[in-house]
Amino acid sequence: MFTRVHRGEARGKILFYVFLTVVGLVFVYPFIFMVATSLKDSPEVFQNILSLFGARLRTENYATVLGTVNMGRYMVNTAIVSLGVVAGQITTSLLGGYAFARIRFPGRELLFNLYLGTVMIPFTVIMIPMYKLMITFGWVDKLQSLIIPWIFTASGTFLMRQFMKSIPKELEEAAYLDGANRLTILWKVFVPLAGPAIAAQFTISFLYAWNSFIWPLVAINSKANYVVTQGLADIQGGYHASPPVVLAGATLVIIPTVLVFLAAQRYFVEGIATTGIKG
Amino acid sequence: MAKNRMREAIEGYLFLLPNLLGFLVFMAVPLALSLYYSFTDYNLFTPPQFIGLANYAKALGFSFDAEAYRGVMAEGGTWFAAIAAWLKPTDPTFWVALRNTLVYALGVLAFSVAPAFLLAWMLNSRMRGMTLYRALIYIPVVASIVGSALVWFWIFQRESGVINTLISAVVSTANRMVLAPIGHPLSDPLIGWLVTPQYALLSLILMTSWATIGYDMVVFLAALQGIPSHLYEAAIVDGAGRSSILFRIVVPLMTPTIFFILVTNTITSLQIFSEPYIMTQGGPANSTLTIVYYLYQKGFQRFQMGYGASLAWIVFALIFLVTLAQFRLSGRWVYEE
Repeated sequence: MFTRVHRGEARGKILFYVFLTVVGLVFVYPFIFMVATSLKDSPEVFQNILSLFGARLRTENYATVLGTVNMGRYMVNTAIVSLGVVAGQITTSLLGGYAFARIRFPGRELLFNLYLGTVMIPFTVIMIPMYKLMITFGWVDKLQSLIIPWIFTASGTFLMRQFMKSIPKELEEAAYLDGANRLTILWKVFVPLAGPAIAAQFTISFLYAWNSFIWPLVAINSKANYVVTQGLADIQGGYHASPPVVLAGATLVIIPTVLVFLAAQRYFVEGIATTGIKG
Repeated sequence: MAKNRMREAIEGYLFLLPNLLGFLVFMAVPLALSLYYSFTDYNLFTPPQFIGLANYAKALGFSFDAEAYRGVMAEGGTWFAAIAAWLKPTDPTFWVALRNTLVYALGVLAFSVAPAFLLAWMLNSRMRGMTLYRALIYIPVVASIVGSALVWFWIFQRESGVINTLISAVVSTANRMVLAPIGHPLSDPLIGWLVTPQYALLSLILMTSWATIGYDMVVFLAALQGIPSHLYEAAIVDGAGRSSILFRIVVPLMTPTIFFILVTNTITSLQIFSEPYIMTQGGPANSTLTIVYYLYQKGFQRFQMGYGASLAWIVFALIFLVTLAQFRLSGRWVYEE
């Protein structure tokens, strides 16, 4: 049936898929290992670390992480912080993006370039004075130290500006002639169209906030206000922690971000393609 | 008309006000303060004392030990070893951290950029299932680095870690089947991935590369999809093979993207902190201490905020120099239309 060429092609195709499947497995194996280990007990882990299942699925590790370790509290804290950052960033980016895209005012291009230039400044450089600022404001060990400094974003403003520039002017002119003010136009004309841009910014900044570590480590010191990454570092630091408990914690932290990514994959990839900013 | 202009300008600034205020309070002010602190002795609790360039001199400075130089030469050592003994850094730990950071950054580039390009090239085909593979490879990018580092901590364990268990299985099978009968059995290497100085940094580089490849791949993929198909078609008509299409057409068109990836990966890797903090605490023997980790230790564990701030500016200068160098060199190989 097959000519020689076809047979070669089919073999090539199979090799192609085999290679990609092996590579894909290497990339997700650590997560498979993580979930598998989180459902065993310590003796089962050390008996055979490669096996996927122990005698039964032990969900008690999750009870330990949520109860004794208080990861539930850390997840609530992190959710508050992440949603606060996301809501704030989208608001300031919509306002700023609109100003840069549509309103004429002196110094606009200069301000825009200056603002965009701040993307180059590594957070490391301002971390120490930022901590001093938190002391001055009385925000040390409070969740607002993880939210308010982070709701201003040059890259998000850039993303919204690019998006709004791509929308034809006629759409807003009609509303303008009806006597609508700019806020109304932004809200009624642009926001409904900005769905994909908002979704892209939502996923990127949510993941960034959820995963952030060094700044919470500096700014938050009482356990009641910990975020999840601090909670994980804390279980790891406690020498009594067994691998199943630690990895149950890691699973609780990682799975939500993977779900957000899978749900919003399309927007996510678009956002990266536009700005080059990762989560 | 002028009134309208005025009104529009005021509205513009009002819309920009949140961003302007945020930029001022959380970027401009800290930036200026950071520069100021770097010239002071400051512990956060008493007012900063101006000490000029002393922090930078401490980090970057050397003293010269002529005695040690002569000692090495007298024992018949090489002049290279003699110079190494002659130069005495004021803060040797800083240089260790700097070296580790540079090796880290180069290592991540080496292990992530080319594989990511290859994967993007493969996944840019029209065959089925490509989105699935793309998602699988991308998942490490969205996963918390702290969480992933904990997972890799157990993968890299010396006793009964995943990698060593696999190696043991392979070695013992090979011994049983072939090597023992012919009288050359191998011993189980039992590598201390995270606990021996010569492997620890490599292990962290491998983990960070695993977490970076997906990002690079998606950026490459977006750029590959932007290459107009008539270019491929023309090449095929001209009888070009797969590899000449890749190296003569695709790679030259992709050079701006490759350049972008090199710059962003370098900037990120020069600031690595979480991986060593979670997996090795900078050890063993400072072999995974990075500059930002060192800054964290100095600033937030020993409250040497002035010295910490000077380290931060050195990181910034390093990032700036590396980026500038990459821009300069890019003129030679980046293709522009």
